[in-house]
Amino acid sequence: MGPARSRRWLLVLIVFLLGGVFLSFQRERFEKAGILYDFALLVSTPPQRAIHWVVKNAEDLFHRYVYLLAVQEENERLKRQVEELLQERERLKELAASADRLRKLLRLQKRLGWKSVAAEVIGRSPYPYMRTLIIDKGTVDGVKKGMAVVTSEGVVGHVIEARRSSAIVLLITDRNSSVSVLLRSSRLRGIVDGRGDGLCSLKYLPVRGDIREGDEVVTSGMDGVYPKGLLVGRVKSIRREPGGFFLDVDVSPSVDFNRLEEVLILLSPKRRS
Amino acid sequence: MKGALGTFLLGWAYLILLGSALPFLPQDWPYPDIVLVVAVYASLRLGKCGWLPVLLLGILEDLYAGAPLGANAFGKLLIYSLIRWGAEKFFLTSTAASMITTFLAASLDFLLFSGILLLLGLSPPLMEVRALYSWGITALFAPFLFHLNDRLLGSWQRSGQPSSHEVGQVQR
Repeated sequence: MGPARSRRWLLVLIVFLLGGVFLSFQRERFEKAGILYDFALLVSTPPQRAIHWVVKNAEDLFHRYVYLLAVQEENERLKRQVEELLQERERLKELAASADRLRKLLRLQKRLGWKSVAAEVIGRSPYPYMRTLIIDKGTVDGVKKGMAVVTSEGVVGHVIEARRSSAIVLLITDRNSSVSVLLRSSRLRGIVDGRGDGLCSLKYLPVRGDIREGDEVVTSGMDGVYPKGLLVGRVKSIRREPGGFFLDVDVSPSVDFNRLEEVLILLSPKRRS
Repeated sequence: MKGALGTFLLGWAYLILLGSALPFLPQDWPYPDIVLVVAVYASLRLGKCGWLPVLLLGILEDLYAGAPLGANAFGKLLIYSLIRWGAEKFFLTSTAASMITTFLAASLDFLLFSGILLLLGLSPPLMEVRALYSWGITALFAPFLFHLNDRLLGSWQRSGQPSSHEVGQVQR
């Protein structure tokens, strides 16, 4: 047996012995190696902590970033959805208001007993000194010159021009408009003329006539344009000129021309069967 | 001729826009007489063909407003002629001059329209504060519309003109 071979056997023996020593260590004995263990931990803990902190934060950051991206996308989507819903709500409100106005027109149509056609206001006179409206119904729909135009609030005016698909309506507030009327309470007759400033004048009422502010003025049906009993307006003010035969009466129209969107054109009285 | 056609088309567009926008505005608010501003523009900026858009727009304004046909056409043509004559005499070119001219033209237009209605046996419009406001707004509107017309018609007219390269080719 040479010296090299005997050294190899010695090394194997030492390894076995060390293994045996370690294996023979009991728990309480292992505590004797605490200093070494503490030292090893002391050395490894800070870099491990640092690495753990970096990795964990990087991981958190990544997750947060991904999460934020998702939240941002969701936020955008929800914002769009809210916007769409708000628009939808406004559209529905508008539709409901329109339906309400049309329902009123329909009720009026049934109550009047006239053949009529509903029209939408699509324009106003571009010339400042004329009080007219442009509506989207014309001769194709049976509209003719001279026909009465009303809403559920009262009289609007009459058609002065009818073309194929549109017509022009002279408002009762125009200076060249006249309506034969009577007072609902006292049944006094008169003529309502437009003044051009948004109000009307009630003419030819006798000075001693029974009339009060707020009295309702309705159509008399005598002019052959408007059916009897449609509301024209209310008496706003009454003046008595000394020595005059007639009263000066201002009438405020019952129709709010600023909010006029749909109107009813009266075509002809329905025949009673 | 191209300027006259452009002015007419622009004026027509303004008329339609104004007429469509007005139902959304309160009835008592005064608003400008667009055709009058275009008539003043045509008399100050256009050549001999300027009367054509004025006449056509006057007729269109009568149609849209339900006014007696020809009332505005006649009134605006008269105003156009007067301003053309005045412009040659008094060199009405500045912004202030265009506003003053438009204000005077608006008052004259009111008188002419009233006269025509009286001749036809109709009631003329009331001479009240609203009419004055309307003249004022029409006058205030004039420089803006002049500028807009100049920009739009200028670019349109330029687009129709041959380029210097094309002119060169024709000459060769």
